[in-house]
Amino acid sequence: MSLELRGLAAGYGAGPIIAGIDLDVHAGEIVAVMGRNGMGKTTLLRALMGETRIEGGSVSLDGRRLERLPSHAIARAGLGYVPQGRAIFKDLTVAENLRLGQFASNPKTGNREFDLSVFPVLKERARQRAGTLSGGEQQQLAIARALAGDPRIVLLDEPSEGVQPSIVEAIGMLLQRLAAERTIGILLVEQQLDLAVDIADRTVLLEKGRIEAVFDGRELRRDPQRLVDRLGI
Amino acid sequence: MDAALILLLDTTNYVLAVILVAIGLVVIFGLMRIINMAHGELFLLGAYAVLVVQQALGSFWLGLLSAPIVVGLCGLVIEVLVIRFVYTRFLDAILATWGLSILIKQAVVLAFGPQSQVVTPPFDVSLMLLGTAYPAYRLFIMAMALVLVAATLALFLATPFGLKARATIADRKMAACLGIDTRAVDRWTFALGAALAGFAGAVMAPIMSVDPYMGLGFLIPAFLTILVGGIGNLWGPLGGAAIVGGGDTVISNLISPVAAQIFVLAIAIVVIRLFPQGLAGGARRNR
Repeated sequence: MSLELRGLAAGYGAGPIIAGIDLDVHAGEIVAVMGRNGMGKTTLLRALMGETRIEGGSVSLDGRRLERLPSHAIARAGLGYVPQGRAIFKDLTVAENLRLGQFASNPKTGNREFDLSVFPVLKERARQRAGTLSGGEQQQLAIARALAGDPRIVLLDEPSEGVQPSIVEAIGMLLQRLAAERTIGILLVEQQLDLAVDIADRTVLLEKGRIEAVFDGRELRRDPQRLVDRLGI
Repeated sequence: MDAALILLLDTTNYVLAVILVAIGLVVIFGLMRIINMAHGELFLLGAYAVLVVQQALGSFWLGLLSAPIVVGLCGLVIEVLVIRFVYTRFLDAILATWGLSILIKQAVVLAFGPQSQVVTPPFDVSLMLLGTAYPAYRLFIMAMALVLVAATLALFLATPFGLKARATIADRKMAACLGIDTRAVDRWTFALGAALAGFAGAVMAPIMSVDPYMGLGFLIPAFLTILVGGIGNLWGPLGGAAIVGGGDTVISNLISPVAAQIFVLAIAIVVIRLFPQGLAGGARRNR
């Protein structure tokens, strides 16, 4: 069970922003994508979700080609998405946001039991408007909403953005738990070095829209300076 | 006392009739941001649907049931052939639906002629209300308007379709990334708006002369209702209908129809100046 990208190129019309991307994300694996601002990290995830035009290459999930499908069909095929800025529906309740997530696996009614045991705070606040949650709670909601659709791979775009350090740590532990216990593959775009280094099995460095280097997670945890040097931070 | 009660009933009747006509417009404009200039013609198609069924089968009720289905299907075809190409083009959408309104009107003239026709009401009795006789069919219209508002609210607040539609309005791209087919939501929302217009036309047909221009009389109050009330939520248009319909009927009765028109337009101008998003959208904030 894996997501396979081969020679992927994507952009907004005036030449590709990312090109020649070859990458696999397997079940239960966390792959982090790092790079400086403007290197194409968000474009990569948007292209996988059908939001940015794919100009070349292929994307397949368990052998099923996705690169020509519209966003809703990609979600139904098994890709969950937590975008930058979370994009929760602030005027809807927490329960309604979670129910929306379920339409990916149950397009007609979205009506199914959803296990909220790893998100106790969301269970308590199910009837509350999502816009009234704190930043960390909103991030949990965005992750829970993506999981509600029973995805095989989850794409997360900077889940630590605007969230306090203790919550970032909790999110990191949650992602590790999801990968280990539910064998969900995770493709994580992250600016925060600590989170990516702590939890990723592999870390990919993106430079000018291309993969410049791939680091093994365990080696990187022993010597994070290698990545720091390449990032120039 | 009698005169006051009749005025109150007439006002309520007109307000609810405006709501009945406006609700389809609210769905299409509020959810899809399409100013549907052909709404009056969808209304008239509903009236002609009931006319045709009544003439062919002798049943008003069958006509009332078939009108929203027929006009809803017309709406579906219109969405697929025209509307889907102009969703993000505000002015083009106005022009396209205006063109459609002319097309539908002229098609009706060709099929049925320009003359007025009559739909017979299913019952022609009056009920005594506090000692005053009032036509039962007008009370039926009022009840239908309330049922339609309740059903529309229930559809959008308590069904999976409503949840998908509200998510699509709030953030179309994110809704799609959650597996919601936003194109299908657009298609069915437009068809629903058309069906509501058709149902309104069928319900109103017995108290109007059915002719190719009948949509215009209610279209302007319906648009003013949306402008005044706003479309932030479904309560806005209800308030707008109360102001537009209520003001029109009361001033028409107390002063004159011309004074009523002046009042309604003046109110619309003042509200748009102070509340650009309508009353439901809140007041303009000074910088």
